[in-house]
Amino acid sequence: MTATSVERASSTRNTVLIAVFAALIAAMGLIPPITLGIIPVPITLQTLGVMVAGALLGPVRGMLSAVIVVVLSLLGLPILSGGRGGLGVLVGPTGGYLIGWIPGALVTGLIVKYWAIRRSSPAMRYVAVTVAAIVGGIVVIYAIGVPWTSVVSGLPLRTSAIGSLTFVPGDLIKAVITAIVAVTVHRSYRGLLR
Amino acid sequence: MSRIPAGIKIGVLFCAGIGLYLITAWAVLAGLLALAVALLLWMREPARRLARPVGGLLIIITVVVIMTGLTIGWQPGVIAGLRLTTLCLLAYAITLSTPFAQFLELFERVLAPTARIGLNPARISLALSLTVRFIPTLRATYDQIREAQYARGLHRSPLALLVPLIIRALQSAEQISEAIDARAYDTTPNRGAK
Repeated sequence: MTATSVERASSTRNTVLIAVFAALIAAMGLIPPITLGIIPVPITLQTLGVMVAGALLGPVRGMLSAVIVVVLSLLGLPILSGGRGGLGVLVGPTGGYLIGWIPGALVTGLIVKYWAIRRSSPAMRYVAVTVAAIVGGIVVIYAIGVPWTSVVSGLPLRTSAIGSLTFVPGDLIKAVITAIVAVTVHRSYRGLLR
Repeated sequence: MSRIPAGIKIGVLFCAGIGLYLITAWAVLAGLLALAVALLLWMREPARRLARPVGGLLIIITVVVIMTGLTIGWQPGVIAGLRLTTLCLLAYAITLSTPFAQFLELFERVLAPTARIGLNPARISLALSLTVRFIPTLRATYDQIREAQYARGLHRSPLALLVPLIIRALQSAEQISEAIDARAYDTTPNRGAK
């Protein structure tokens, strides 16, 4: 193989990986929510998909996966959980949580790639990836979603923030699942982050 | 309505988004809401297809109206509710009256000039269409895995579902990118793209 064809092969691989993870995020909106054994709350999986995309593909590709899902859903594909999609989502009160996926995946990816996955002890690695998923997948997404709701609806920022707390327990569980999944998959697929 | 170019419709939505926030008289807003409802009904979409997304939207907006009503007063609450419902229904009507392919076309046209700043529209199109193709495939894979894990009594464990799903997604990404390269589908610019 010449240098350019190697280059092309890896860029094709990146394009396909980005598309596959975008499809994964989208498919997670279609599958029925998983109910965890003890906890009766069903958790919808799309933000889990966003966290996993960042944690497995790294910042840039993870973010691009999220971009694709956001673009496709705004173009009208009913791929958001509950069969939602279309421009109405963006102008609605929850639009910020959707847009937040993009920086959310980026930040998760950054922390995982440059810090979390480099921890030497395996236990520490689980904790570190959980932290990455919490910062990227919860803090960043809410930081956009909460003010968005209050701008669009005129709700005071404080009320909007308190309202969003309902989703924090479910999202924390997703962060833990992300860590276990990401560490497990990275172990069998080395070089995914590179 | 489906004959109006997608670009113009999005422009109208954008202006409506700004315009609605300038109007503060609730009677005018109620009139505009009636107009948006009429527009949506005029499209003769089967009620079954409207029920789920519109229902979900109304629940979110009701919550926002009640929370605004309790915290800052009922009049701003009702006004916010009217604005949001109008805007979302309008966006929904636009999405319904525009085929997905038409939006995709518009999106690609908008992206075309980005080739100059180093982005690659051909590759973005490839990623978008691959994603759309992958969603049902992943959904089918998920169902297979779920059945297999059900037989093993593992259907309540999210990890037993997610890890195999992601590993299989990664494997198919490898296969597909090899297949794309084997067919010399070249998206690199200056070399006769496509």
